[in-house]
Amino acid sequence: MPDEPILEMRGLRKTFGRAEVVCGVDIVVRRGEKVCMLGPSGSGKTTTLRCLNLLTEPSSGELYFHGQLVGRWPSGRGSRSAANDAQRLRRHVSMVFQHFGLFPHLTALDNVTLGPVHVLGMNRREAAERARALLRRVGLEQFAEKHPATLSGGQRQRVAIARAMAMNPDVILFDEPTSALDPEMVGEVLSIMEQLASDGMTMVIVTHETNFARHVADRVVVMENGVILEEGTPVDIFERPTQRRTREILRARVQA
Amino acid sequence: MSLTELESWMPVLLQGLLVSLELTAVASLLTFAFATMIALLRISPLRPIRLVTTAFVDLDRSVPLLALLIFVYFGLGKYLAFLGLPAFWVAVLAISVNEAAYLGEVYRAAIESISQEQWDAATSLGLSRRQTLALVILPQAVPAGIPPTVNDVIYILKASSLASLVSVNELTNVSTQLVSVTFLPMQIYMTIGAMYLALTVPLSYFARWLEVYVNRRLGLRVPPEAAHGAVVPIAGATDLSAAVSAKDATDA
Amino acid sequence: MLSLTNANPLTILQLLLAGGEVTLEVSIGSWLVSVIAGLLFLAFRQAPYRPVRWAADFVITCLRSMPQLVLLYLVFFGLGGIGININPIVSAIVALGLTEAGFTSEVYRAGLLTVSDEQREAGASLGLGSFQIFRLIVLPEMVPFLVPPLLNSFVGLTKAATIASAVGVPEILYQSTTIINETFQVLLVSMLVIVLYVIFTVPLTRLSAALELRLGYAH
Ligand SMILES: Nc1ncnc2c1ncn2[C@@H]1O[C@H](COP(=O)(O)OP(=O)(O)OP(=O)(O)O)[C@@H](O)[C@H]1O
Ligand SMILES: [Mg+2]
Repeated sequence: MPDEPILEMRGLRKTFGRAEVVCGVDIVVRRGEKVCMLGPSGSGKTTTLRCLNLLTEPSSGELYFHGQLVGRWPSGRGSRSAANDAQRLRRHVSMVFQHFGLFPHLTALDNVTLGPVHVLGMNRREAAERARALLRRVGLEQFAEKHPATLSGGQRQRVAIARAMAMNPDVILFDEPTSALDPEMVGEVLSIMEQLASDGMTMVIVTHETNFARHVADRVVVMENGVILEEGTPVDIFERPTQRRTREILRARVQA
Repeated sequence: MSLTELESWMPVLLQGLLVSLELTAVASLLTFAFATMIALLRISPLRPIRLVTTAFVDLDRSVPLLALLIFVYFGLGKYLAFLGLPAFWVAVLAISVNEAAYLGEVYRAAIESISQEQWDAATSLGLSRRQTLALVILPQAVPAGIPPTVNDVIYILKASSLASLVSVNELTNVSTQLVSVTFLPMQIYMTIGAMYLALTVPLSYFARWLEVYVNRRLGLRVPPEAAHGAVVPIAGATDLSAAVSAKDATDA
Repeated sequence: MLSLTNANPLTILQLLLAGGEVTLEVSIGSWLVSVIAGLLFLAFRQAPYRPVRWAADFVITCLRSMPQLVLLYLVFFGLGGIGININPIVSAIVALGLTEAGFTSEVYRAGLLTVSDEQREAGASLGLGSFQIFRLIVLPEMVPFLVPPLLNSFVGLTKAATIASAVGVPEILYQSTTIINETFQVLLVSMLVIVLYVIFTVPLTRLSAALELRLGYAH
């Protein structure tokens, strides 16, 4: 079923203290879909993304995974079972961070095997074999025994992508995966992501790379001030946006 | 003091030194254990646990070690003796409970110096809180905790001399007994002073070297973008001591 | 003179507070010794000759590595044994002050490092002499950084002052053991002492932490 919704967030709101930074967002992510999220700084993209794997707990909203309710907020349930549900959800929803989030005390290989061994309960030998194959896919097989500190930014982000893939997730969430990179390293990471996209992985990508969004995304979501301003195919959004604000935001991005 | 005199004291002093070392060893191990517990309770996700632990740490840190020693000795001594626990264990208990409050805070600072991003990354892989601590956070926090731990052993060895005041027959106590028969306080206290220093001074130089070494290693590990003009976080240290050890590193 | 035979909590508290006064004398005295001796140590540590610096460094390390009780015995009994009699309170002030001075000189050294060379050069470029630079630029800039650690050091000394009881200084712990020996009220007396210490030290420790935060050098 290609149209089957994998992740579905309804009526997401998030407040930090008194500030409401996400004010009623609905997002559906279907199997194989690539959703790109764009928007000015502070518009709530990261917060929305982090609510999708419950790294950040929604203030209100409902989250469904494969049509099953994962949680409803504000929740009256015991926090322990909620924490368990969130933990179970994250086995299937991986994340790639802006600053890589690699574990500095572990080698590239051990970074990739940590999740499979300790969360999925895979045996070490098998996990290492798969990790090597994944590192080969991102072009880093020869760096398997290196620590993150000795890798370049682009290489680190590729390890982080391999780590996310190692969980065999249903979805991978990307939060500005190239924003922390030197310009000459952006390409290598984007091309890995394109390859992943063409392999059929379901992806939600917060990015400022409009070119990438234009030819990889199935759907583009433009956010501002905690709400979705406009949503549609890349052609809709980039060629004939219905909102003037969308055009302004995208123009600012292209220039930046 | 003649050499023969010194020779005649030595067996007694060495006997006392042995007790001091035993006391230090046992109290140190207990301190590490208590301190780790305190640090973990202090970062508990449950607010009541954090509050109670904080209050305990505040209380514990306010009480002078010698006061604690004497109160426990007076208050519980006879019960402990009844249980077959001599003053030695009163000293072990008082020293480690008192010292754990300090070291626990150092350990907590080491844990908290690990960035939120590391928690996020581990959590997003589906690791539980406990797994995240054990596999990701603690392995990174331990190096920063080692130099203060060595310093703590020095502190405990020094503190062990206070056990003489609750009748533990350690080095300071046997020397006081020796003074009461020889009437040579200067010579005898100089001798044991030298014995303490022979242990603590090398250890303290070692701790300093270790701190510089660990900081350098940690500095290497910090990703360039995070290290950008930033001070490498050091457990429980203010920037003052960070500045000093950085200076030591460049002097070395 | 208060009698202890029918001691009530209030009488006990009064006796303890009298001990507390002596504790303050000892801790303020030793704090002053440490502040001044620390400055001398610092001067030696900044000396232009390497051996002098090393020697100063070694002496400081020794002072910091010596059990305070043993140093106190050396000053009181040791010097007494060779005919130099110093009264117990002064002995305690000297012994505690000297051990603390090793720490204090470290605080000063770190304080100096917080003032950047650029600041000094800026002063020099205004034509200020080196003492003027120290007095007008370095000192005012580093003093705020010295306050929290020196405050902590004072708090530490109020606790270390209990060690003076070992040579018969009638500070708070000495008083409390006397009272316990006569009344056997271990629990009451120890609770009172602990409460007094909490009331005295916790606000000071908090204050120091708050000052530290304001300087922005606490993580
Ligand atoms: N943990 C937090 N506590 C308080 N405020 C927060 C927190 N996280 C985010 N915010 C605030 O929420 C708003 C939205 O943040 P968010 O990171 O989601 O924006 P973003 O669209 O990802 O921006 P950017 O493009 O800069 O990454 C910002 O104003 C931010 O300051
Ligand atoms: Mg963001």
